[in-house]
Order: sequence, then structure tokens, then C-alpha cells
Amino acid sequence: MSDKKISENHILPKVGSKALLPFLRQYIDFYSFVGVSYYFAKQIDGMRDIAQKALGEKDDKKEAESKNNIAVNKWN
Amino acid sequence: MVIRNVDNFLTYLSELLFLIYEKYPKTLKSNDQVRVEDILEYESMEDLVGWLVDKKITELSYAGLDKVKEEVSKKHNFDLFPDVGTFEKINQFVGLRTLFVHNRGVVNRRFISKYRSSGYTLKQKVNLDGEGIISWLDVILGAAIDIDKRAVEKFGLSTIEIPDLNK
Repeated sequence: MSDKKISENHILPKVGSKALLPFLRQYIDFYSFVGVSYYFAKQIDGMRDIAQKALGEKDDKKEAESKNNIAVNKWN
Repeated sequence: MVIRNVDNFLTYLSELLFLIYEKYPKTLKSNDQVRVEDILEYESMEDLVGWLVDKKITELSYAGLDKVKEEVSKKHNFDLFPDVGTFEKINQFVGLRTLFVHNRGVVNRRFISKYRSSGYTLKQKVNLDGEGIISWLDVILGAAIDIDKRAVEKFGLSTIEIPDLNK
């Protein structure tokens, strides 16, 4: 058995029928494509979370400033 | 992506069956009728058997995975999917493939009646996320590796070396 894992659960065999190799070649192409797409999708999700969090914090800050201004105006 | 992935697996099964029928052409014996006109097109028995194998594989590829499983079990005494759960998942992938190809991924009555335990509802749009697709790939890879290992042993199929495909 090869020591190279292409997924968490399976290890590629060292030998196989003539039908297996073309299947595995195409599988690896799919896996690489899906894996890379998934990685970038996760990265984009992560960036979106960070951006949303930052925007949220900004909004919270604005709201606090606004409340503060109202309070200050009231004092004035 | 999902469609091509399922197609890749079904093509693998067809090619494996071809190797088995090619090695054991007598398992092609059946009550099916063949036209004399077709037989006379081939000069040798070998060519004729090659054509019959092709014909059989084409028929099976249109028959659906459950029929293929049944045929292989009956004719070759070989269980393609000994694990029921794996078979159900892959059979459902084949059904979803059909939905994506013919119905824009929207669940129809035919799918519901065939895959009762799928959890999908009528007219639901099937959307698979990255994790869903990766789990598909995982099940399909495991099944192919398992089938191949057992088929090579049972039918004495010749093998080839699998290079390191991760490079």
C-alpha cells in the first residue's frame, strides 16, 4: 500500500485492475479541484465572517457614539 | 462535478465488467436473442464475443445500479456492494446525478419513490456543499478500491502497478 493519502479514510493501492487506474486518475483530478475550491470557499467564508464582525463592531461603535451624542445633547 | 464523479465510477464498473466478461465469456450465456445478420458480421469467435461483451455492458449501463448489482451477483456470484449502506449511498448518488442531468437538481416523484429514505422532499432543489461533495468522493473511492481488490482476487484479473498519483 502507498503511504500517500488522498483522503482521510482511504489509501491508494499499489496495484489494481486495468479499470482502476483511469478511475483513480480522474478521481484525483476531481478531488484536487473540489479540495482547492472548498479551501477557497472556506477562506472566503472566513473573510466574510471577519468583515461582518468588523462591520458589526463598527456599527456598534457608531450606535454607542450616537447614543453618547444624544446623551450629551440632552445634557446640553 | 457531481455528474462527472458518478459517471467516473459507473465507467469504472463498466470497464471492470468488461474485463470479467472478457475473461469468462461463457458467463454471457443467456436466452437473449441475437440476429444472424449481426453474428455474420464477425469473422472470428473472438470478435463475436467482444461484440457480445460490448452489447452486454451497454445494456447494463442503462439498467441502473441495482440491476447491475443483481446481474453480477447472479451471473458471477460476486457482491459488488457487500455493505448495504455503501450501496444505498452510491445508488442515491446515481439518482441525484439523474436529477441534475434531467431535472435541474429538483426532486421529482420518481426520485422520491425510488429513494424513500433519502430525506429529500418533492420539488426540493438539491444543493450540495463542499463537505457534501467531499463525502461523496470518499464513499465512491472506498467502494471502487474495495470492489477492485476483491474482483482481482476472485476472477484472477491481471493487475497493473498504480503509480503515485499524488505527485
